[in-house]
Amino acid sequence: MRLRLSIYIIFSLISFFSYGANFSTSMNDSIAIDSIALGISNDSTSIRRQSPKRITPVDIDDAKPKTVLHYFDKHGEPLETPVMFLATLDTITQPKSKPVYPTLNGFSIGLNFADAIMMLAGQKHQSFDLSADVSLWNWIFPTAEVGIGYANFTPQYNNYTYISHPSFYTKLGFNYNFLYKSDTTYQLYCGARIGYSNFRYSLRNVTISDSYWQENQTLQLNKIPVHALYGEILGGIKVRIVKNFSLGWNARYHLKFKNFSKSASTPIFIPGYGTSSPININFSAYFTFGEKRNTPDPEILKSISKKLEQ
Amino acid sequence: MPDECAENRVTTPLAGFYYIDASKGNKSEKLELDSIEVYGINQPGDSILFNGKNRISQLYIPFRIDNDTTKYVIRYLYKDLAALNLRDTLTFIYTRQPRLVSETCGVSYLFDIQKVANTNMLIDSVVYTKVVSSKPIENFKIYFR
Repeated sequence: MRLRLSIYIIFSLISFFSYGANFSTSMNDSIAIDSIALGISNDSTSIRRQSPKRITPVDIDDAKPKTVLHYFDKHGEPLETPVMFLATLDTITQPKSKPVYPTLNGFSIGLNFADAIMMLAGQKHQSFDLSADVSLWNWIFPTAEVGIGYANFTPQYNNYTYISHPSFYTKLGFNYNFLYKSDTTYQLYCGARIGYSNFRYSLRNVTISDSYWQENQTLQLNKIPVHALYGEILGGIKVRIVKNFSLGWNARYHLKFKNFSKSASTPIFIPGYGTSSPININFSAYFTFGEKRNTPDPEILKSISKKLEQ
Repeated sequence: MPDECAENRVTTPLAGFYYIDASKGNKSEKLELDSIEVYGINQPGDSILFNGKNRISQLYIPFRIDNDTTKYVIRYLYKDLAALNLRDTLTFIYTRQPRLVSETCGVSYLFDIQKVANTNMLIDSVVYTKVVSSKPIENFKIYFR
């Protein structure tokens, strides 16, 4: 538990500092200007760096006149600071809330390694999974997860050894990104999954005794088959660390729907679900491909650089 | 929520004592008994399960776990009845199924009752639940005359 807490704090710190480091790439006009200024600064022509101002767009108005930033004066000389004509601001006529990213905005694959850490801490059951999601408008992320889970432990002061043989599980669901209009560097999301696993477990070294009748029995119950159906409600964050590599964590609340089994026994570990704890934490590493990011137009940057060289 | 095995970690059937009160329209009433002795037939040490030194209305009656039949004798120790050596025999026939109850409760037997037979010296009848698990409920109601 203490280790889980430490991991949580470390990840939160990584997320926090990573957020600070990537601050200048946040998606809005001011940040884009700042990025340009940082990209072209040199000794001969200095473009003053402005402290970035964060703006989270709330309304989208297609009828709104496009604001144009001017980087050069009428003589073609670079301006010290890009200029925007204020007359074009505050002209929203048909406000509408809608996403700012394309319908298909890339996909990610991820690896959940939380139980690898817990294994080092002595946990005797593990579930590892790969995930794949598609970004729709950077807003909704349909997600599929496939993994393998197993367990082998003997509870203290009890009369059995529980073995869950390595078995596959799969989960389908989605994430809802609250920061769908912001930079894709960050995701703050909630989501839901429905999970299924067909697995077998064994009970070994079972000892049952009765003191009055003075009888003792040692039993083995081997490979009891189970089909388990469960649900998850989750919330988490995902932060791009470098290029297309991201890290994230999420907390999941489990709901056991149904175990289908001919046995009267109750499995205490379900692959992908875990044990009796209703909440667990996942840590994942992600690689994202084909994602559109809201960064300055490279053509503009090139043209500015050319001008500066002259 | 407490585990179902909190009070009965090993599956031990619970029997309650009753009588029918004709003055109350044949209403089933709890019966408190002392002066009875309960012991199992073929118990290795011939030890007594209950010696009748206190008043009880319920009694845990463990089942044999390496046999599908358990027999108990109730010997009546009331002054006049003891002289007559009156006793009743209860026979429980069941099937056993080991099962994992939960992580903390562990593995215990589930008894599926096939038949309950009794002699009728003072026992009238026995009413029972079909399945005996580790849940702390009264599995047998033994009605006395």
